[in-house]
Parts: sequence; structure tokens; C-alpha cells
Amino acid sequence: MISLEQVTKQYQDSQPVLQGLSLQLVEGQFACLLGPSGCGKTTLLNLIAGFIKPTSGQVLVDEQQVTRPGPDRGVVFQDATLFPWMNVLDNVRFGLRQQGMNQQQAVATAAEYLELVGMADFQAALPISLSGGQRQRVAIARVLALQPRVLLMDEPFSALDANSRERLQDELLRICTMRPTTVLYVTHHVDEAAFLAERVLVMGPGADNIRADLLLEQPRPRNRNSEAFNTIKAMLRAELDRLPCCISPSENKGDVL
Amino acid sequence: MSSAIRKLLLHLLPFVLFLLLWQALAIGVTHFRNVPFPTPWQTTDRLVQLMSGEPLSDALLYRHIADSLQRWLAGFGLAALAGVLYGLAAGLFRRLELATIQIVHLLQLIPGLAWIPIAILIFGVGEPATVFMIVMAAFPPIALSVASGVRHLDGTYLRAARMLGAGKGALFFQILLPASLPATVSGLRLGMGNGWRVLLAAEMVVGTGTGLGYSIVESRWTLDYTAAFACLVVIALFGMLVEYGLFRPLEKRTQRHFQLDRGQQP
Repeated sequence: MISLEQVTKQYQDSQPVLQGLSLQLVEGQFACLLGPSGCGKTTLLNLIAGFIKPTSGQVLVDEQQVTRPGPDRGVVFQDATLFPWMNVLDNVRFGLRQQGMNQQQAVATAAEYLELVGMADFQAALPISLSGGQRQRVAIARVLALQPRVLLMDEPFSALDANSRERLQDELLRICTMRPTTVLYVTHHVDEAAFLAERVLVMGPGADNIRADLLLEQPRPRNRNSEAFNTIKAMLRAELDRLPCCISPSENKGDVL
Repeated sequence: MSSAIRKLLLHLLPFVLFLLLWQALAIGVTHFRNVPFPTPWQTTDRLVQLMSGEPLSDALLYRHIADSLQRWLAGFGLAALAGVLYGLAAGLFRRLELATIQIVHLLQLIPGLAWIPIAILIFGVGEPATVFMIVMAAFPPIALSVASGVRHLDGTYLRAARMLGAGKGALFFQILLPASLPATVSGLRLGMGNGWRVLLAAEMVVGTGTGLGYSIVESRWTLDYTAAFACLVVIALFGMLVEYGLFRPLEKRTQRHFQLDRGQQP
């Protein structure tokens, strides 16, 4: 169980990015953090990942305070951040080996998860030879293979072209049905949240960061052309329209721990 | 004409131009100063003689080459080891870098030949003095390049590795070392060139009876300038061999494999 209790995060002397934020993620649920740039979505994700520490308050995973990054909280970054000097299989194997899994088992597990994300034929390829979408598939495989308590995704498909993005959204839902995982997915795209989420947390700047906490009950995968889908999007847009626009030029990603 | 041949000719053009300039210079100097200036052909001819076993300064050409290479390898090896170790440490520990990196910058500003009195004072005339000079010339670029490579490492790799559960050992050996490899190779390449240049100068002054640099300076007494030119050609050829045969491909390879243009391909 992942929860945040009265979390405040402030960088140096500037205004706090997050203020007194409390939140509980539901086991096995796909939650989207939706909001404009600069409202602290990535900060919230980085706090759970353990890349940064809260100024005050607590981030808890199974009652344990988060103090540093770890394999129980798998992160998929906006850039795939695969290690360019390792081939695809070694990239997935890296984390497994760090958990002390033996060579043979690590290879088998890595192969299994590459199969799951549809990259079984690319085991020997170097990341440089892959497309952005393929790299993200590998990045998903390398964290899922560690069977994390939560999958943290920071706009993972936003650098892809529109077609690849939708294809990978489909894939992600398929993968999540096969390996039920708690997901926290950061996005500023209404379409993406409407398509993926079971729960949408609409975020805004300043105090009271979470402006709306919505459950989307329509079963997934949703038809992107359906009336119901448009209704969800309209509802989310209405929430976003209440926020001020153009908050800050870019989101402060914070210092690396 | 096929494009491959045209490309080959274009690559050969600088050499042809160089030989023409050399020939013109030789003719000019011989004519106006009335001293025999070796032409490219005479030099090649002498080089062939030396290669077929004619002694030069009481030793075979191969002996001179072998001795020079050995000194260079010893000096460059020491400099590479020290440079990489220091560079990694300075890149990792900010305080060490602050406390010491200016010294390395200073060392880099000292021209190679300026080490001659210092080398002789510390080691006396002989082999160690030569090696010392090579080390001092090759160390700074290696150390600085590795240190800056580690310092400016893409933090996202470290982040990702820690998220995947990497401990300190794995972070160092599997992430930090390979990630700083391109900078290391660049540094080694610079250090190699510096070392090679200072080696020959050092042999001229503190050399010990053999070596390409020693042979060149000896030609002043034997008036065998053509042999000196032949040695120059050998020096240039070895430099090019290491540069184009080893370091350029290595650099290209590491840069291709180790630096990912992230987010470029959709």
C-alpha cells in the first residue's frame, strides 16, 4: 500500500510545489495524475520513487518510510534511459542481477518480460538501434521484471508520435491486464488519462494540489471514438479549465538524491 | 570515374600536395643556400637502406624504433593509469577536485621540453628521465578529460540504476565506468599524442644512445641528414598508425555505442 501523509515539498526559497498533500493509491488500480506543467506532478512521482525527499510529511510504502529509490517502485521515465552500452537483454537483466538472481534465472526472466512487451526478437539489439517506442517497451519490461509494488510512469509516451503513442497505450493496458500492477501515470494529455485511467487525480498548483479525485468506471479498453469516451474527456477538460493556465515555464525536476 | 576512386584520390591529395611542397622546398634550399636538402625520393631511398639493415648511430633502425616505442609505452602506460584513476576520483569526489584540479591545469600549461631540467635533477640523465617527461606530458589531458567525463555524466543513468536496485559497486563498475568511456578514450588519444611528441624531444636531450629522437639529433654530427629525415618519416607513420589505426576507430565506436541520442527517433 502506498500513501502520502501531509507531504510538502519546497525547493530552496521558492513557493512550495506541493503543500500538505495526502493521497492513498489503491492496490492494483491504474491512476493518472493529470494537470498542466508546473503543478508538481513529476515532483510527486519523484517523491514516491525516492529520488527526492519531502520537506515535511511522509511517503510510505507498506508502512515503511521511503528514503531512497528502489526496485519495489519501478519508474518509467519520459526518456527510456536504457543503458546504451548494454544490449536489450542485458538492460532488462541488470535489475534482476542486482536483486541477486542467478545468471540463468535472470536471463529466463528477462526473456519472459521482453516477450510480454513484444520485444522478444530484439534481445541482442543495442538501444541506439531501436525506435523511441521500442525503447519504452524495453524500459517497461525492465521494471516490470522486478515485480514492483507500484509502476511510476512519468509521461512515458509524450516524446513519441501520435500513432506510436496510441499503440503503446493499447499495449500498456494489455500488459496491465496480464500482470495486474498498481500504476501511477503522470500526463498532461486529457486523451491519455481518459483512455488509461481507472482513477484520475487532477492536479493544480499551490495549496490543495489535488483538485479532483475521479473514478472512471467505464470498463477498459475504451473505444476512442465512442460517445462515452468523449464524455469522459469533456468531464476532465472541465476540471482542467478551472485551473489557471501558464503556471511556470517548466516543472522543476528537483535535485538527484 | 566511380565515386569510390574519386574519394580515394581526394584523401590522397593532401599527401601529394605535401610531397610537392617538400620537393619544392628541397630544390629551393639546395639552390639558394647551396646545402643538400634531402628530397622525398632521397629520403625514401635512405629509409629503404636503413630498413634493409644498414646501421644508424651504431644500431639498427629497428632497435631505435623498438626503444622509442618501449619508452613511450612505459610513459604512456603510467600516465594512463594515473590519469584514469585520478580522473575518476576527482570526478566522483567534489572536494578532491576542488583541492587538486588546478594543479593538473597548471601542469598542462607547462610545455613538454620545460620538464628537461626537472627530469634531469630528479632522475639524472637516462631512461627514467625520458619516461618521466612522457608521463608529465601525457597525464594532464587524460586526467582532465576523465574527470570532466565523470563529473558531467548523464545523471539519469545513475537515477535509473539506483531505481533498479544497484548498489555502490554496480553503480561504479557497470554504470559510471562505461558511461565515462568516451571521455576516457578522448583523453587517452590526446595524451598519446602529447607523449609521442615529448618522447622524441626528450630523447634528443636526455636520451641514452638509442631511439628515433636520439638518431635525429645525432645526424648533426654525422651530417647524415637524409637518415634524420627517414627517422622523421618513421615517426610520422607511427603517429598516424596509432591515431588512425587505433584511436579514431575506438573513439568513433565508443561514441556511437555509449552516447545515445535520446528521444530523437520516434
